[in-house]
Amino acid sequence: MSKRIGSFAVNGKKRDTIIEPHMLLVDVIRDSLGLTGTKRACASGNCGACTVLADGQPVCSCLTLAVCSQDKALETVEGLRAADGTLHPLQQAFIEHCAAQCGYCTAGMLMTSKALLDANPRPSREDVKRALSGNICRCTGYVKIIDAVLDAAQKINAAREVAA
Amino acid sequence: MTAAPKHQGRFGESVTRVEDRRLVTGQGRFIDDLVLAGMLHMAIVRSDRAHARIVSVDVRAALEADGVVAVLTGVDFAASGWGDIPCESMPPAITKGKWVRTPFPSLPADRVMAMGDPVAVVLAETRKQAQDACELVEIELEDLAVVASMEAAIADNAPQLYPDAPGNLCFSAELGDALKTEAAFAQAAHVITLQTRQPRLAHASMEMRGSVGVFDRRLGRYELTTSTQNPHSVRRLLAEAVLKVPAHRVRVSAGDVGGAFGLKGRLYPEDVLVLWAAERTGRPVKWVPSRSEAFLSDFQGRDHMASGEMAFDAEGHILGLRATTRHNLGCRLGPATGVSPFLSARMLAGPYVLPAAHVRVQGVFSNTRSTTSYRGAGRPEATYFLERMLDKAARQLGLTPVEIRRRNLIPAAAMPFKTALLDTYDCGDFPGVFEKALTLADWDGFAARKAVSAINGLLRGQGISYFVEVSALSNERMSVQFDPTGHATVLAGTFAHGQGHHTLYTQMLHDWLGLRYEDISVVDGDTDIIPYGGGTYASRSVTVGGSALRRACDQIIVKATAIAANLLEADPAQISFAEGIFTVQGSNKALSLSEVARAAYRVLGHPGALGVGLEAVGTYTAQPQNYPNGCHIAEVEIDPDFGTVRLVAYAAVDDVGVAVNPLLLEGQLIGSTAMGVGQALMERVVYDEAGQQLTAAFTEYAMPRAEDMPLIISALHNTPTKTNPIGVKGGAEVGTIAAPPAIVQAIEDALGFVPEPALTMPVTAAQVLRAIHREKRTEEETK
Repeated sequence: MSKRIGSFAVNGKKRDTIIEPHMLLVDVIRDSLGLTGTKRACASGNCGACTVLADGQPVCSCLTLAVCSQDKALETVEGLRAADGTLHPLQQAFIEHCAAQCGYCTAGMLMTSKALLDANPRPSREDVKRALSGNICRCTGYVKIIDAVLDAAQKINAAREVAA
Repeated sequence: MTAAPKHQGRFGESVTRVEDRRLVTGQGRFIDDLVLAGMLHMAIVRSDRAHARIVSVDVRAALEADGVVAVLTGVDFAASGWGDIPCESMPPAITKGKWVRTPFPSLPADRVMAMGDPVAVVLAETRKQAQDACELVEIELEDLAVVASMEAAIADNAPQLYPDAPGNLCFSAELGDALKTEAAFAQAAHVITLQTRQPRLAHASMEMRGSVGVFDRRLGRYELTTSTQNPHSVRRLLAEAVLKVPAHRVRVSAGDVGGAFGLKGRLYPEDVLVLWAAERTGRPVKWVPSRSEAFLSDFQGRDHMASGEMAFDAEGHILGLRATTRHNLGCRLGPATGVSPFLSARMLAGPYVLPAAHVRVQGVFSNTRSTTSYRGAGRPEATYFLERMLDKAARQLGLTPVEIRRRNLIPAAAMPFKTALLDTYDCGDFPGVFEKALTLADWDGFAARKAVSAINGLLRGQGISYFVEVSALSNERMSVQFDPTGHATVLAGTFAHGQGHHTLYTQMLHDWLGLRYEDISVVDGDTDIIPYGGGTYASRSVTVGGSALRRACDQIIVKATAIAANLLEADPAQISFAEGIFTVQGSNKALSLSEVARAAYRVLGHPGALGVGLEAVGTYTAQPQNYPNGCHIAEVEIDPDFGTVRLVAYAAVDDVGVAVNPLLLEGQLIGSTAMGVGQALMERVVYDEAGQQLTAAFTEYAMPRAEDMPLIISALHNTPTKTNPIGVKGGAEVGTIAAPPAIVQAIEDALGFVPEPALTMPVTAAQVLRAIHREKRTEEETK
């Protein structure tokens, strides 16, 4: 088991850390880089709590080897808000709709939703349900999460139209 | 139900949560986020057998492994003299103390009694090293006879798990009036019999349990950080039963807790083991399980059987109920194992005029994981039995499900209503709730919706259930403390783990004391800061915590009025308080509460007779308790080719007394309904005959996902309770109680026939499809 320096691009910053071949991306993100917003919950890709974006695609960081993630642009929940602290419209909508209860699945929900809205700015309610079908929430019953994602989509689109 | 929420609002308004900014930015602090200098990781070697004698545990190879610091066994634990985890949930008034106590060492030395019981613990520098070394621990087990289910445990000649528990019965107790009930049955025009079964459920909170233990050698103190609902209960059990030290030598705290639902209610063996290992190694010790380890080691819920009969007169009025409610307790008693059985027995009194009842309640041992409270705890078991009983009676008496309930619901004018069992319902308009739900769900317009479903080749059905439950368990203590800068802190004895209490208590202080949101903070979950508390479970916190907080705030106003009078040089009788401001009648002299609080700490100008500082403790004991109730209506569509059941509409009308924050209340309704949907349609912990638990991953234990939940419409029909100062009842478990019977009735309605054998939760597609095929065969045979 050879240790080596791994180099990661996380939330737009280059971060170097010691990795081993067996290490999972979630362990590097949480334990080595200290970004504990990403959660471990099943370690088998079934619940989506550990979802991060790799080159814009949602991936289960519990199923991804860290060594394979070095050449990818990684995004975690810590990188969602703007540098000045302004919340991402999804984060704001999650607050407005009370879409979090215990908050443990929330990072995964936010990151999966961001990938959805980046790819499909005008999703239907069914689109959102499908996109979130890999993320388990045990507290909220999903309804307010779906409402929040639809609301965020609208706000993002409205802001784009104003800018255009 | 909700208007656009405010970010700051009063008691009764929809307000977004003060907790959420940290949660949506990834700044929650859960147990696995806690890292201490020098911390060791604990991994646990667990039994792969359901029942066996421990012959030997050889730790030598594991001790040689990389990074391993210690490997400890049940023999080591027994030698330490640390006590067992006790059961403290058997009500003496009902059991008369007659129940079988079970040994519960945190690490057993002689016998494993369920798959997943701990056998040895490994302590290593990293989690991976600890897990890897577990593979090197050599265990020799000698199999013993297994009883893997409640049915096996109560069968004739079943192997007996405890010598003093013949028939594997922990207890068998009775409630109600046998003679009166017998007389009622003698008058009956109809007697309906029924048996119902609740699946065994896994709470499966998204955050698993986990603990970090520290032994402070300097002070001789034990410090536990754990993912719990109830830090003070954990501390008391540790101090009194396990460590046998004064409680001040134990600190229990918790950060953010990622869901619990009854799972994390009390003390667990792993809480004990991290402290034990920390004392032995002199280093902090952390245990966080894998998901499969959580499935195997977490206490579980439900696993209940009810059987009995109900007597009716010729017009369909209930005359009496005779029932046995039987719970699988698992292999040994956890602290809260007695909660659900006795609540289910009590709540069989139900929302109907039931003149006579006689209930037997039994607890059964088996080689399965111990059971404990699961959201609703006893009320879902009782409600399911009663509601299915009424559905069956309606069919046999030729009444609709609506008509039989209309004829039997307790009228509002009959309140307070003394039930045939233990409770007296203080208030409630059950018929009003019922009729409002029928309107909300457009019950009478169902035929048109059914026709539309039929065009799509789908079978549509509707189902209705009514429930009454009990809230405000135990007592509570809340304090309000002003600091020398004039800001207020609530020290809460309740403990939020997703419910949003910090928001609710902030609303209360804002409304009652006129403080700004930014001047209020709420602290909970640390026994070093908060001397006593009851934690959070059973829809209790807003009721008992809110009531205690109301009293604390009332005292703050009284105390501050005296201080303000001194500062304003007026008679206290001339001082009035509103919106956070003290004024002197007939003058323009005024002071804010914050200014008064600051003044109370000053040495100059503040008379010693008025004390130092401004704080107050409020308490509330629920004597009597209160009774939330509601009516929920489900509509399902069945695809007859695949048997799949989809919940397509859900309407709920609840009486929660008073809604403190409708937005958060709606979140509790929807979330609890999702858990009810899970129980009705997909969730079940499965053990095979050898006691092997087959459901130990999310691929094997199905839970609702986003696509399984319809929009939920809801309304309130509140009757505020007078049993507490704020009128609040409770509303966090309504869906787990009401949804399962409504959904199963809707499935039967959609099918258009009553399957034989009866549908059993979870009603999976396979079960529905089998029922459809069986019915088709029967129809063809009878042609």
